[in-house]
Amino acid sequence: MVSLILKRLGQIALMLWAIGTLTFFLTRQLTGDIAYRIAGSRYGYDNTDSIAAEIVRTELGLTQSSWLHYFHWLGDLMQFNLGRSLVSGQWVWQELQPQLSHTLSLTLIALALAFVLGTVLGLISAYNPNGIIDRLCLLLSSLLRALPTFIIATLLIGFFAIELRWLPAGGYGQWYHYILPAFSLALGLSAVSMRVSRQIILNVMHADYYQFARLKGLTPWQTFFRHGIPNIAVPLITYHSVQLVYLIEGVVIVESLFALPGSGHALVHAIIARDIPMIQGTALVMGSIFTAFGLLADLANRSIDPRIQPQLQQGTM
Amino acid sequence: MRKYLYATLLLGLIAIIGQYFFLSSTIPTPPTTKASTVNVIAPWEINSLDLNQSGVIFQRMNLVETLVEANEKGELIPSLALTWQPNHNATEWHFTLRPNVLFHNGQPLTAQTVINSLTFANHKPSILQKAFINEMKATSELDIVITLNESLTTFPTFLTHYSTAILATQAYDKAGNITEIIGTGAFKLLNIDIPQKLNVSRFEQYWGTLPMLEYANYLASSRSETRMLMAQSDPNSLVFNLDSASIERLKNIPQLTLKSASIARTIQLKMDTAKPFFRDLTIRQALSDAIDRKSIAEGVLKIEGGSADQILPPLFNEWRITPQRATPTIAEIRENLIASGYRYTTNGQLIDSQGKPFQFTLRTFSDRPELPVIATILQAQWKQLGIEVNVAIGNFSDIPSSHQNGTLEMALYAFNYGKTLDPFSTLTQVFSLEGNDWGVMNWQNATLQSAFNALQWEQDPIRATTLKQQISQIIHTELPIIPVVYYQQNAVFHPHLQNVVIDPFERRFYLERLHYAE
Repeated sequence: MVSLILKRLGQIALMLWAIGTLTFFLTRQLTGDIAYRIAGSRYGYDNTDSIAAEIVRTELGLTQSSWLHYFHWLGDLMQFNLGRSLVSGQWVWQELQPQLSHTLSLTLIALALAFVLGTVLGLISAYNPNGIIDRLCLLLSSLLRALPTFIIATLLIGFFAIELRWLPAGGYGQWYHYILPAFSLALGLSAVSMRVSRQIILNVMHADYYQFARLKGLTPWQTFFRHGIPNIAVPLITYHSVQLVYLIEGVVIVESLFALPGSGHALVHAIIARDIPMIQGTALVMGSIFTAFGLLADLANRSIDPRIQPQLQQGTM
Repeated sequence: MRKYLYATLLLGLIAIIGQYFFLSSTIPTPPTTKASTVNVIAPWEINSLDLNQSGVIFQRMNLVETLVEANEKGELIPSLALTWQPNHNATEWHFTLRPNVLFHNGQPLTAQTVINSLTFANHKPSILQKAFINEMKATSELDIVITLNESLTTFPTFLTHYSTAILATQAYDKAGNITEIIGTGAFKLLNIDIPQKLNVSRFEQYWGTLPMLEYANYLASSRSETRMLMAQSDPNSLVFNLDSASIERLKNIPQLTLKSASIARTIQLKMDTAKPFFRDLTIRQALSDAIDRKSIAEGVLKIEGGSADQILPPLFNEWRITPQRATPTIAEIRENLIASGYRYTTNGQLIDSQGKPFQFTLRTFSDRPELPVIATILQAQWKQLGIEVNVAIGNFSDIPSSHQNGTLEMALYAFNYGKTLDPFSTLTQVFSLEGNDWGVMNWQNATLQSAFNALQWEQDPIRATTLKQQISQIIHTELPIIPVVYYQQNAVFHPHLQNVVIDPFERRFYLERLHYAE
């Protein structure tokens, strides 16, 4: 357990360096004069001219070489200092905290919804394979998967916010503001989740050990609880942990559409404004969270399935 | 059961983390009733507490006030300053403050508080730095004298700008950074969540007429589609700045009211008049004449009456001239060009007397999504004249930086002439002798400069109007900058929200006038 955690922490450190370095050099390659972009974000386009750009250039030392900036950043990172936003002047970590609250809340709610929806519908489908419900679920999952998050969100807003007026079309601050954005993300995710769950459940239920357990005289529920759930849980947890990437991608669109001030939304704005410390900080924190969730999923799988342990020790996980 | 222990513990941990983040992402909302609240939804984000960055939102939400205010016609009216008076050559201005004005923290407005705010504003790259301020001093509890380095008859208009709003001394830290918004406006701040949200409530000790609404909320939403959907779903919403597609959709939604007004912004073309072709007025005139402004304004941008026949929009009535000549047809423009010594090749390309083809790069940017569309329309329209245009869509910084390094040929952008209500100060910068990032490039006119100089100290309104007309006529005739379309601001709301006013100078939401129909 400890070696796995240490190994993952090492991976996180390596990943942080790689993400930070990549974002640093990629943002420097973006077109346009960085001083003007920052001045535009600070003072508004109407007040941005070469004088304002020059003030920004001098204040932030933008005439210094990229390498000097890079090593400053690396030195700060080693002291867990993400620097200050070039636009607002606030500490990056201070700005990231509220943004992360929104993004993590939205992501976790969407993931939980997708997990419940996908697993329950997968279970129902697997109960009677190729039956009416299974075929309806197949149709539903194909439809949901074919629709981009943007369209799903717009349809949900159209129905629940405009037609029924049950929920707000955007904004944040109360628990009900999360319902539509979370469902917009979860529906697309559960589309595949439900088919994956169905297949995993079918495979497990048709496995020899499962049939043998029934022959031993265990009730269907006992068999499902003792032999079904552990074997179904491992691939399901793995699948959903990998789907975090899909969620983080979808979060950018959903946050922007529902006017949620999360990390995805902030990242887009930071890129437009060339706010390099904010871009790096957001990418680093998002990457760390993604890796941390991967670690949690590994630990959960390891605790459920003891067969994983030797594989981990061999370094195959 | 033991094998589920770790999984359960981990799930519990995730749930606790999730709950922590969820609780910290929910914000206590003030107790409001639908009849007493308006939800303003607009694209402008609150970047920080700095007035330079976000003062426009604080001013629009009636949180902060300036010394001088303006009505919808752009006429100056008293606000925190009751009166103002220049000396004989407008280099010294005496302001008398309104008595009995309280800040939201209960502190009184004094001359020293005003000087404190204006001094901090003057130390940042803001509009105030262009007002030649030399010294500010308090001569009594409610009197201020501001001395300028140069004569400036339009000085009070600078003090209407959001960056010059007056905050309480307690709003600043020792370095002059704003740590809290403590203004004198009709609404006081309840809660601010940078970058997207703020809630305000009526300030009961306000010096003027109290607003009819008790609460107002502001939400920044950058997507026009989202704002449109919010307008449809929330009967208390007041939504600003919709794109042309959303405006078109509105025609099918009878439950919503659309209000539009022309604002002080012009979409215009600047060019390097030192470069071949552009240095010739015949070419600049031909380029201007070939633009089908009506189609761009009404067909593409859905702005009725948005054709820009001169650089300043109708809002600036005193500056407007009556253009004398009728717009020629494409065939007539081509004939004019041939008569001026230009020729057409067999494949229809326009060349000069040395056989050099007329081709150039038109730079624009996508921050304002309509600009690339207009650029490609211009490309097609000028193609009819045999001019090859390469449209380069980058970001807004390409224009000032290529102006500075001399590589700019032509640029399309939107420009705000109403920053200080009176366009005089903006025009002097745009048409300055040394050129301007967002103005002329290698173009000078001695008559124009002397008109500017005369207007700077002219206090007689009739002579001032004559000078303004003269300035507009020179710009219109010489075309160092070619106007294309005037912008329009629009707002959409449910019909029960009454007294919605669109400020053509983009300074106010006029929340104090809003109320709901019985």
